[in-house]
Amino acid sequence: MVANRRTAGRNSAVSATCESFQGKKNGGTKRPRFTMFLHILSLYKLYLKMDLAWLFRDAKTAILMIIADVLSNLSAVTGIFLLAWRFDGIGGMSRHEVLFMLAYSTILTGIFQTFFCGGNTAHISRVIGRGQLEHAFIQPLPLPVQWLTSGFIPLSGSSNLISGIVIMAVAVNQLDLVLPWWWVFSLVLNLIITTSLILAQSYLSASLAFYAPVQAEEISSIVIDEFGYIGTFPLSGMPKALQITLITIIPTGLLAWFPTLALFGKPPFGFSAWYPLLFAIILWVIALFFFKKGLNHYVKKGINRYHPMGHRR
Amino acid sequence: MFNKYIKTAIITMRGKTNGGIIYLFPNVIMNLMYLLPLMFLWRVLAGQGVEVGMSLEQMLSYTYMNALLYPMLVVQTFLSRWNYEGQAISLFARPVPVFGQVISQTVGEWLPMLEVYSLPLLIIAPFAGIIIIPATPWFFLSLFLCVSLGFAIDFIFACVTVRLRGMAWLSHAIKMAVMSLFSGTIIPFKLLPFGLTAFFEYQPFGSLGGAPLSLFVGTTEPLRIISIQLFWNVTLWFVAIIWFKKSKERQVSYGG
Repeated sequence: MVANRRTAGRNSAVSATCESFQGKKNGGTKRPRFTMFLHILSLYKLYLKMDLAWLFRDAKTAILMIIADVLSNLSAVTGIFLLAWRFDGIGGMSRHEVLFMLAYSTILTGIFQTFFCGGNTAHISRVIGRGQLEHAFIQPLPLPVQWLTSGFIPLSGSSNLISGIVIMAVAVNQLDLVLPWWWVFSLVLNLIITTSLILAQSYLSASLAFYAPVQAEEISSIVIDEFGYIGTFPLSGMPKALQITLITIIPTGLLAWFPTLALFGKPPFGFSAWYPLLFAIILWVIALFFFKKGLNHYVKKGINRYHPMGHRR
Repeated sequence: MFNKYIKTAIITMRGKTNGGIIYLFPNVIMNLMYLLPLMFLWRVLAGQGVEVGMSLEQMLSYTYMNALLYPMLVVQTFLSRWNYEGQAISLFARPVPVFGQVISQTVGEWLPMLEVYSLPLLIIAPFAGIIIIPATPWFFLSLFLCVSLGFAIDFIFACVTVRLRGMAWLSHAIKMAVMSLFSGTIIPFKLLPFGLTAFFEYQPFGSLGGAPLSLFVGTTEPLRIISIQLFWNVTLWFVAIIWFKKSKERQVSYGG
């Protein structure tokens, strides 16, 4: 995953943007009345510019990062595809259905990296555990708006999105599907829901970092990476008890397997195709409850991880 | 001579459990979560009746032993991380060789999980129908060579981190991407299509986990595999020692 990248300089840039939103640059008397939507779009534009600047400033490192991202994801999905090829499919899924599922997983990783991997917005336990949440407190923007926008790295983070789309195009072509006009919208909606599921899992687990900052600093990464990897396993043909466990208690099956079958019009167990949405809503309610509880603890106790010389404890 | 290294390993082991053994359980749960679907995946594939030169028992034992021995099969030291965090410099201030410190501390880090996770799994293995006796005694030599090569490769990646000005994440991502596919720890080389088996066995990462595991389940010829492992050990340790020596003075400590 893309992480620990260029956060320096962003916060001040965001502040500057906010001042402009609040009309301070116009003398502080008259504030422009942007809607929240336009506000967010402007911030995305700002982060796009900063990502572009980063690419130009250190193109060699940027290219290496992009290659590492693609390699990391492709190696995770290649093994399963080679198995599917050798065994002529897995558990009732054909080779190209498995390829489609892996493409879905790659696109999902790409969307996740593009929108939420800058500045550790998805790996939020790092921010909490390192005692860096105060950096966000001093920004004149609500926390959700900051987290929705500050992770946007559309140029350096979209390599998996592009490679995933190419793999999916190959899979769809090989599957010889006749798709209705609304299928692409259904695909996009599924991807949005799945992305929100990963975020909910990350924020729920990150709540622990408020109480155990050192031990739980990397818990978001573990949840995202490990769940993401298990999510590439096709569960078709596995025992029903395991399948049910992996779409309820440990919802890795909702990250690629369930949506893939739902998009082919055969959701597992005859569940509604809306099941992942319902699950995501419930998970977000739980995540928000525990996250707010942790945040209350944090603002009272704080987290002091830094030595006076700047090193972390 | 080895006493100082044993003491270092013990101190590191205690450091891993200073906060209580409870902090190891999330790792145990994650490892089990990873193991179970893979075990069932082999059952599903075996049920499809395709002849691949490995029985279901061999596939299950392969994956199970990989789960038990994983830290040793793909060695990951703290060196790259310490370089990023600015702590690697402290290794040079101690009266013990850097290689020895890194190896003994890494072994010390393995011990708590071997005790809390691997040992119980080893005990229950026969009840789950898993073979825990290696098909050939050459497995033990192969495992030693695998661990040794793992350290050499990790030192080389630490040098890559130094060259990348401390970008530990980047070298870690590249390393893990390569390892997860090319080491043969997750997917046995024997199961690969397109005649890739021979290629994967001969490339350097194939002498890591895939080599001892394939000897453990008896799907490959011992002397050929051990010869390849010896070759890569000599070659990559030579590269690691020379490159690490050259990289020492390039290290930067800034921390944060």
